[in-house]
Amino acid sequence: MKKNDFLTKLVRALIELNEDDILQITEYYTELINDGVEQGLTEDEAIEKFGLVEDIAARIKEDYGKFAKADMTKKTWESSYESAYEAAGPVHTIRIKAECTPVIVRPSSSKTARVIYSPREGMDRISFHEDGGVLTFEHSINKFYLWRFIGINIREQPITVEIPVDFDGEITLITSNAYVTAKDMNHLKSLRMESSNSSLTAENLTSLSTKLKSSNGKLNMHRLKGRTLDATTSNARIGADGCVMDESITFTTSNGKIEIEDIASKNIELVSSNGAIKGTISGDMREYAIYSKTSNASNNLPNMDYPDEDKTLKVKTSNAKIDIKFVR
Amino acid sequence: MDIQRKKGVLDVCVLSVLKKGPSYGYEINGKISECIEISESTLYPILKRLEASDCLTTYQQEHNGRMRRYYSITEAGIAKIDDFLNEWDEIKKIYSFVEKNSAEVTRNEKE
Repeated sequence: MKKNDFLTKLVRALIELNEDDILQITEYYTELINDGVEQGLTEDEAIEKFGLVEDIAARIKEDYGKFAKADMTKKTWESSYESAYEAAGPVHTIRIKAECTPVIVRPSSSKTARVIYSPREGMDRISFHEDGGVLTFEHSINKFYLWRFIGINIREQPITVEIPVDFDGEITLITSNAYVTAKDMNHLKSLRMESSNSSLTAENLTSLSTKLKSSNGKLNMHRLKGRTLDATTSNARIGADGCVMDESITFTTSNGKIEIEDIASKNIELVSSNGAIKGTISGDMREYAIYSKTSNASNNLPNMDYPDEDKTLKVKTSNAKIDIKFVR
Repeated sequence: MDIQRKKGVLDVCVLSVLKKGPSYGYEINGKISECIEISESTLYPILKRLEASDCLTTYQQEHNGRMRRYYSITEAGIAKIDDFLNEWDEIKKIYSFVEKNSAEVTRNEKE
């Protein structure tokens, strides 16, 4: 057995212990393996001397109460393998908060909302509650895994949220280091999607307000309708096609391109720096008051401001091209 | 050796190794193995137990570009070794008593 396999197994077997204690134990075994290897053993031989992981864990747990800093009963990591968390009644607000795990939202023919996810024993912590029409699903990963084993054993199982087709409330989806996707819902009041270091995709949605926020993650928007659309990232591309908003569309990035196709709104604001802004807007250029600016690159937009124009278009970047066309 | 008895003496074995100077897991285990069979997984709870009862303290020190934990004996640890050694006279007495009685029985049987 290799060092990481052994340590992963050991952590799993000791998971109800305090995190500090788990760290100390793994530190102890890591050191012994290193010392063993230094003395000429192979990793396998060094690990073999320890005996079975189950026995090691049993012995430590037997003694644990005597030297533990914390009360081990306080920890209640999810151990049941429940995989669907279903709302008991109608909900108007859905809040999903996850760590390092993708989130997918899709409509279903069911009358109630539900969250599908199989927690990994000793690794995921889930809290699911429903209160006054607010469904909250919170997921976190045992900090030990985040510190030590990021990239190992993190399988790409998404949290899937199924929502009744006629759902007309608010949805908030927040995760980190993993993508978020929401598709095919037509009556939303608001949709908020957030991640870091990973992409957000919103497709075929009607929502009064839609907000996407990432850092280092791409933002993809396809066929969105509603009143306002707000998308912010940095160091990544923003792409939108077929998005029509009554009030406003605001895209902000830095170091990323903004590419649009057939978008329309009363107020459009596209801001980047170091990223090109290009594509098409549906409508007549003459309806817009236009403010555009770049530096060190070409800009095909004029700067026009007449009192009778009730629509505005602001486009701003630097060190990159602006190339926007109006199509009917 | 009986497990309970072994448990009792292992603590003192570890402390006696540390009395000669601070040491680390791999080395402690190696030294104790000269006298009594012990696995590294048995050693960990002993070290934790001794630390919890203030018989030893620990510190980390760099070794070959990584950190190694050293264990160092305290006054309480030294006192514990002394207690054990002082107990020994008593144990010897019991041992001789057991030995004598047992030998007498064997002799009587032979006669």
